[in-house]
Amino acid sequence: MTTNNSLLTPPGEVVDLGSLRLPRSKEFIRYIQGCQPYVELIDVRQIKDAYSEVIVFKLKIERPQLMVHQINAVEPVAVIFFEDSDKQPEVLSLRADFPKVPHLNLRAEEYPRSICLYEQPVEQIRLTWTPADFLRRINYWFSSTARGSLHADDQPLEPLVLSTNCRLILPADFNSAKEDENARPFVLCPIGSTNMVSTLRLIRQEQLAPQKEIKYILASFSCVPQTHGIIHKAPSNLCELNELCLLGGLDLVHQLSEKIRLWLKSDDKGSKFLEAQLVLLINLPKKRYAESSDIQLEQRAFITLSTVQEFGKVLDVVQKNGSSSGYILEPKTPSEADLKTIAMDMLQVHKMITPEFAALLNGTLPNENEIIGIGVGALGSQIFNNLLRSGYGRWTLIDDDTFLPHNCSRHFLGDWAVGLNKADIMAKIGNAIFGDKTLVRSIPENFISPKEHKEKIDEALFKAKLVIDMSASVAVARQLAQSENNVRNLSTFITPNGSSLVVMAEDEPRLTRLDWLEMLHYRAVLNNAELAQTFDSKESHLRYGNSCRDITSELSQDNVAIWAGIASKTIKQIATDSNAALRVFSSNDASGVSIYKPIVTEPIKIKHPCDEWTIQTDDWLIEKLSRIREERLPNETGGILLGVFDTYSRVCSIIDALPSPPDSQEWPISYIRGCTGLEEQLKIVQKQTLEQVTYVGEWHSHPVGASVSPSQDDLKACAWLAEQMNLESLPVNMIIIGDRKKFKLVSASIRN
Amino acid sequence: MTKVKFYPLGNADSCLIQTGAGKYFLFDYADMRNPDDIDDKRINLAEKFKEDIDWPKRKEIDVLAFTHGDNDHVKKAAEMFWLDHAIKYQGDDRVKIKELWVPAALIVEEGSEDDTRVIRSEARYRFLQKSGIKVFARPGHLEKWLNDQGKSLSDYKHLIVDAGQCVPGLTLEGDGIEFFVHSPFAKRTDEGLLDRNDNCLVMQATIREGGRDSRFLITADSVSESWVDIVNSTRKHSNDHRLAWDLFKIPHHCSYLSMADEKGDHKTKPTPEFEWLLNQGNERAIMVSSSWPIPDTTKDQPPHVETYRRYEETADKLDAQLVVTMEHPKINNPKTVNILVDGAGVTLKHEVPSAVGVITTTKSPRVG
Repeated sequence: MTTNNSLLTPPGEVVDLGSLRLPRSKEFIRYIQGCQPYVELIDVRQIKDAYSEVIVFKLKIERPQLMVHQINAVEPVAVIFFEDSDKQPEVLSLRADFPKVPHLNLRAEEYPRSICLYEQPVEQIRLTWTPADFLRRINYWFSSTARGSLHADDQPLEPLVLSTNCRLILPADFNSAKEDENARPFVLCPIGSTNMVSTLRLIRQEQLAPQKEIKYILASFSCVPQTHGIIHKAPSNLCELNELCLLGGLDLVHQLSEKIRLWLKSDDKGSKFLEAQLVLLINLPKKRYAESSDIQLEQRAFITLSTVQEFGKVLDVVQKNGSSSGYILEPKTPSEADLKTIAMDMLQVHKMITPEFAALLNGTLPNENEIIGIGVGALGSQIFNNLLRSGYGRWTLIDDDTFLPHNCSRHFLGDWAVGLNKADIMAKIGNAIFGDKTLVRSIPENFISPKEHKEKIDEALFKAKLVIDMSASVAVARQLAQSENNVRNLSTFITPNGSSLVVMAEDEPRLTRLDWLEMLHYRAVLNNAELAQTFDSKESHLRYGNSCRDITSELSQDNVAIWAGIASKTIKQIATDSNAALRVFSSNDASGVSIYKPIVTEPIKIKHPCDEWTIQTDDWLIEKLSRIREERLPNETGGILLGVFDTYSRVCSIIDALPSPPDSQEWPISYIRGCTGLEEQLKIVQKQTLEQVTYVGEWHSHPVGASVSPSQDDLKACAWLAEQMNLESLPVNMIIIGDRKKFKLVSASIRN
Repeated sequence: MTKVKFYPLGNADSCLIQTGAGKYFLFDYADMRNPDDIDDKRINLAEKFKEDIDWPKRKEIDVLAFTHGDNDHVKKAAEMFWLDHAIKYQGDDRVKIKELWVPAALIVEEGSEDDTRVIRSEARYRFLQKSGIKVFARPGHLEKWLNDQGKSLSDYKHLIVDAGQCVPGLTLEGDGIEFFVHSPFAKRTDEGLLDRNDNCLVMQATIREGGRDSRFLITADSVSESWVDIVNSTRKHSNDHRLAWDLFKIPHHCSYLSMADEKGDHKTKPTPEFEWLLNQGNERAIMVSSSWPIPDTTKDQPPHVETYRRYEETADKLDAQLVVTMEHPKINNPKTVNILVDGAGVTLKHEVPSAVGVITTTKSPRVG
């Protein structure tokens, strides 16, 4: 414990309790005596002249673990009650090292510090004043000060600290000690109207427009580390500031003289800065304890009305000869009176935001993982914006698309980006948000068939922790699924009519990949009445470029923004878990947004023995088939299998089955599948999935006790089916299901 | 924000976690107060617990965990909760349990009485039904028992959580809380893996609030020997952060037996492993001893003042707060220990008395 408990002497003479005569102090004493263990009375006192009574006690403070201001577990407090009951009682902290915190009253002496409890005028407070409420206020003041929550973020700083509302904005990574080495003043860019400058922003040399007139410059100085603050009231001139800095081991006047001389020496254009107004930045490194190595930097800035030229004159370093200025080699020490002629005001100092801080403001943890974003279209640009602003990820954006005027209606970008590559310009804008040029990179390239930048893409994939596919392209997701690296892939898209958002994520070991998750989504559409319209589109599916994820031309930005918000939230959520995930959000105007979490299974992969085809299915389907079989025992039963052919990767996924048509013939040792209504049913399936899910084969059951190996009849049927499917160069599958969910998959194709 | 409550029950445990997302986790339930003794300062747990879960608006808690089956962790649980295994324990005035968490020992052991026996029947019932339960153990520990019931371990594996992992189904991002399991664990010995039946549930809860993760070490009655194993095994797996703490439930009612084999003359000297564990506390953490007031002199039964002194040393070093449930806020009128977890870490709530507060929390006098 490192609390300094040295106590300041409270005012007045100690008296005994019985001598108190002011009603409010008597009430207060009575109340706090019932407040153990939180309050411990030390003594009571009287102040004879201007009669008042003082109650001195120790107060236990409710402190959070992380404190903004150092408040001790127990604080000594004195309350002064005045004879004039219109005067508000004054509350003093008796701790000798009580920190300089917001909401203190201005007094003639700095210590003991006087606590500002109420914002309302006394006339209002006395209407409801009770000793309990008064103590609660005192408690609240200390607890909230410890939390740093007494001062709301949107509240302007207190007048004691600041007599101007002008702000100074510094880059997030600004370390003046390092940057000062180039011996040039920092240039400040004024923002606001000419006669009402409200903000000064530090611009680094490399960002400086060469022709721009320099009106404000900044000189930065550092004190040696202190355990306590040294600036407790705003200095009003250079003399006062210099005195304060001397307490912190900084000879400001001397260093400032040296600095101005150096500028004049090294600046070949001589008087470029002389007419600029000078702002002084004082770095006040603070240590919590004398022995601690953890240093926090407090920065104070002061704006003067004087130009560098005028400073130079007062400090006797600049001499003007006609139109040119030179520096004086052996200057005189300036007098106090001279220094007092340079008046100054304090500025509020703000740092530019960093992704880490943005994450904090978003209520999430910072995430510095390398992320690849593929596709920054309507949805992608807005998801990227959401994630980036919450400090999520360091990005590489990949897109070969050019931004066109019609994109403006539903894209993060606007007219200014027309004709530019989407990835390039989104990266630029992303970097501008935090002023960090390394945060977002872009590769203006087609991900599937890169031309110039293939190596760049490979390098990005090598570094990445996560790939987020927002390209609305089935092909991109499938290619990602086929890749054999260790990067986890995640894909999100809006379905064509805009009614549904899908987010799918592979598991970390990549056993369940995007291509299989795509199948599980189709299955969810087929088995969920609410999702049946997911792929419904007014437009013909044959129109150019229409795929399962191409959104129609009629879709409102409201919806894209809503989906982008849900998508980014979901991405953050499921990326923390290593499991595979599939989320389907569906909206209709009547009932808002519903969420579906279809069961995610690992695929069972079976390599086709004599061909390059890989067949995949899962336990869900096998269980479903077993169930149907059991219902029909002792007879055999069967039906057709539904699934998807990927003829590029040569993967066939079997995802569902239709029930046995009514005209089928079922016997204990054989089965003939009928066909009544089958075509119509298949058409519905195809329509519901935009032609993705189709017929991929047949299934039938074997009776109790029989093996699941194909019989001679089975093989003959299979050969016949293969011949038919050969017309389209596709394989055919036959699943035979037996006891205890045992199954056999026979896959056949004809090699031409 | 998440709220954590410890109830003053003498040397007995009951701790309620209410997460920011509105989930309720209760670790142990032991209603120790003697209603016939007006001087008994232990809290009326039945009344207080229901009030704290917002009964009757809420009639179910998400998880009830029993760290082990001793009386001071289960007393009168059979009167409070709706139990699925027998109609006798069902009724409108009972709190339902979505999921029960128990160490395997509670299931496989035989012979105990009263509440422990009832909870055992409930745990066995739920386990065999495969519903609403998680059992903590090395799965093999349950194999013989299952086989005796004519069951096969493989059908029950998904209900069993081994040490060294997080309880499945709860995530920091989704639920704002996760539980890492330290015990029960199987000890590797020359004869192979040894499952000890005296191993109770030890977990670390990580609570995410306001962009910060706070860690709560839930320790039950674990003995020193177990702590040596837990610390060594955790460190061996480079899981040091799984023993960090912002909130520390002092094990076994401040008994020296959790800290070392010997009480020590003035101050208990912890084993090197327990010393290491104490050093995992963060600045201004909170330590809670669920026990009777600390005696001034040495006593046979816990809490042990010698051990308390050692905890004080850690509290001083960390500027931490050390709370004894039966002393908080005052020895003559102990109340629930309320801890708030938010973006500023953990905060011990101070309840300064207010008239309205008193009136609205007690029965009014008779009026005519």
